[in-house]
Amino acid sequence: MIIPRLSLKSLWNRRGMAFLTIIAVAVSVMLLLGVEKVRTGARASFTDTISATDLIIGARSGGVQLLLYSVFRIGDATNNVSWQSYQDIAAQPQVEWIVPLALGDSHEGFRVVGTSVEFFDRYHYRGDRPLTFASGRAFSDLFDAVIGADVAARLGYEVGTQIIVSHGMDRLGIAQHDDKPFTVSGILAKTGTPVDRSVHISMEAIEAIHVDWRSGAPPRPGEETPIAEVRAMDLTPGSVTAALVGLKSRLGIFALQRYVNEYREEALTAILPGVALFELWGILGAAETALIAVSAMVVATAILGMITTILSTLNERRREMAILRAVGARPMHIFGLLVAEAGLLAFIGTALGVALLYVALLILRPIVDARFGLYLPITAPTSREWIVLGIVVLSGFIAGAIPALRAYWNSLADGIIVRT
Amino acid sequence: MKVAFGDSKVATADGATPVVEAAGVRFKWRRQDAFELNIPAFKIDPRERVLMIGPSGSGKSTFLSLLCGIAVPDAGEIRIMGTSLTSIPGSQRDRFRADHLGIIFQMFNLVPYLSCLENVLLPLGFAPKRNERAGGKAGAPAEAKRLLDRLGLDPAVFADKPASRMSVGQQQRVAAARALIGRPDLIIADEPTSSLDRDTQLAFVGLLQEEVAAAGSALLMVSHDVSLSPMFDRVVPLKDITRPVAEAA
Amino acid sequence: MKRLSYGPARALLALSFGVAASAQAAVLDLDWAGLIPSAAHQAPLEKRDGTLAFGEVSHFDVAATPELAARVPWGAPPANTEDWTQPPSSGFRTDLDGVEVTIKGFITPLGFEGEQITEFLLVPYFGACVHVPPPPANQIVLVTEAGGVMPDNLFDPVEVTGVLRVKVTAADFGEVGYQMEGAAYRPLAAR
Repeated sequence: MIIPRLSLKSLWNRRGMAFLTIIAVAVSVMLLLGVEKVRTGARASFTDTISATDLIIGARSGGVQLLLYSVFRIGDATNNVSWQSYQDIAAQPQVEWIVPLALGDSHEGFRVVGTSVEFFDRYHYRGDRPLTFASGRAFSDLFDAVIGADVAARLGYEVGTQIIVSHGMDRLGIAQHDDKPFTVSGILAKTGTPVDRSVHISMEAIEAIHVDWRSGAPPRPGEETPIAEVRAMDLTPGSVTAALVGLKSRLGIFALQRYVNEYREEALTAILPGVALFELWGILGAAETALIAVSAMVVATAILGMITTILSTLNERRREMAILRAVGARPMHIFGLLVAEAGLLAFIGTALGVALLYVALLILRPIVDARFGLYLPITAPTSREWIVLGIVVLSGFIAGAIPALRAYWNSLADGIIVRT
Repeated sequence: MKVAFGDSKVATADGATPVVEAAGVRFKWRRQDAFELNIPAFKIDPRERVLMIGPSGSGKSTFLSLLCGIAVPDAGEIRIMGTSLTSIPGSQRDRFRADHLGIIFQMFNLVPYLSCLENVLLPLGFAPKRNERAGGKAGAPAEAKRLLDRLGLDPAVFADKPASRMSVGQQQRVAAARALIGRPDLIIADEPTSSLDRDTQLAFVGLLQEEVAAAGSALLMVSHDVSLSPMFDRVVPLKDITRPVAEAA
Repeated sequence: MKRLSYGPARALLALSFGVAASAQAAVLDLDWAGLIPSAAHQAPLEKRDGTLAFGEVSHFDVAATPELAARVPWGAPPANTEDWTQPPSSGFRTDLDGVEVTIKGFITPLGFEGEQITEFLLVPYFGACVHVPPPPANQIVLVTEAGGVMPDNLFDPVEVTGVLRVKVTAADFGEVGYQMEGAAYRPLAAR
């Protein structure tokens, strides 16, 4: 067909303008698709963080809040769960396993999590993957610590390294438990979940380091209880922040939920992780929609810019159209030529945008992971994304009808004679 | 390069279909400054070379638009090769034009972003029958190069040269090759030499006539240059066949 | 407890079958009374003489407006929310075993895969077994390996299409009488 060939040659002739238009479309497509990729990547990352856990127990608060602080280590608990309550729940017949979580301390900005050894068996992510040790093993000694992959990588720790836990989320190390150092006993393999950014110690160890902190203030220097003495103490935990629960049967969830919700001694709540996540998506949904709407507008702007540019060149092309008419082109051919030019620009721009996106993702992925703990999966475009890309290209063709129509009318009026 | 002057008048065979036949044609542009064109009778026979003399603005462009089928007469009939232009639907008129006519303008003949060769081959993309006459997909490029050569442009040098990088004289010759390829029935040349200098003008017209004869086409050339008359079979003053009527104020 | 793998492809297939089948009127459209054997002596859940269509109003509105609740034709939760004993069921529709059906109801969630809910109890009123007492065993369907279009909220009513099985399963509140495996669900939007 002669029209596609002509449109290619025509664009090549004006390749400066064509190049700029293509770049504009490419960047806008990159933005649109990038927002979608980050959105779905973030969702998948969140969703993949925890699986195989039936209930999460915590002090009464919103379900989303409990999920965020217990699993994602975002935000803080309003209250703790007393050890008595924890044991009462653990004793319920439907419970197959229960893992406590104690949050509050930190190390070099990473969260310290008090938990049981069973955590390393029971915690699963991304479907059914269990935790594995890249080196070392779980804690056996009171002052053992198991660190996540990012902690080890960022701070250069190995099995055997000694670390000091800071009190609270203090990064400056002003309030430290430096009289009770820990030894890294194991390093976990990378998971792409908040586990990578956590330091795990036993519940007893949490008690041990807070022995002198009962009043909330650090002990005076020289008055710390010596380690040997601490080892001999009864280190039963006083409270937990949250607990992960696995049931013998899913159909045993109801009585347990009711038990927890109606527990008289403390205000507690039990949530299904899936339900809380679903609520989280509902909250984020409006923001995501807004973000996508804005990106779509940017694409529309790029295409409008392309149309404006083509329109502005129409006058100087009237002679060219007259020549084409003289050699036998119909006004529809003229129309088709301009639609083809617009569509071609949109197509090349879109293709370039997709390519640029993947390059950007490849470059940015490790940075985003290190900074935000968000592991962006780099996958081929989904069918939904292909449809979106198709719509962008199609709208290029359709928008091209505007200058094409103008040229069509011009051509009808001019015929083969253009009064220059 | 031979220049031919004052070729013998071509005798028309009786009964042969005229290339152009116009009768009772009246036309008026819809624009404000239009004047009415009135052609009682006009004819061009096969292989005839007609020179039409008339200053610019005397209805010449209008007349050519009517011949090409771009404009449709308000009254009367125009036949090309026996086919009435008004009987063909609008969309097919353009293809008809591509099949039967070759057009050379005064200037800006070529599509600037196409090469010489691509410009010559241009009409073939819009007219399948003409394409076949020129040799089809396989043979047309060779035919185009042959024409360029005949018109004094070495294909080896010029075939792939972008049209924008050629001199006016060269461009006019490429336009002639484009008009001639596929041997259309009528070549229309609208003041093709006005932008050339005197010597080049005569050379061009002679060359054009040679190739028109070789192709067996008729030639209608419009010009204000009366001195070209000896080179043509017939000279027709534009005002003889048209009656511009100034629009009543 | 072993995690069940779910088959979204199967569910979508079921949905498309459901759509095609319903076009051929081969899928049985069941209401909750239809799950009670006709010869039995079990009063269907209090059905009000309602004029509102299922899905025409959200349960929030119903809960907030007693007048609205009176116009709702589908099952109402038991008035006494303190007594969590499961009411007796008089039997099951064994003639429906293996029949493809469509039932409208509410979700009591059990398990998710990714962003999709894949296991839940389909119940005749919102909050059954969790916030309010359970219905009789023949008024609960255990839906497993399900897939489909998620509603905007988990408390919105849905329509579930799949092959019904009479299969009594023990739960901590009593029993669940029916099951649907590989079913497809979609929301009933409130108009």
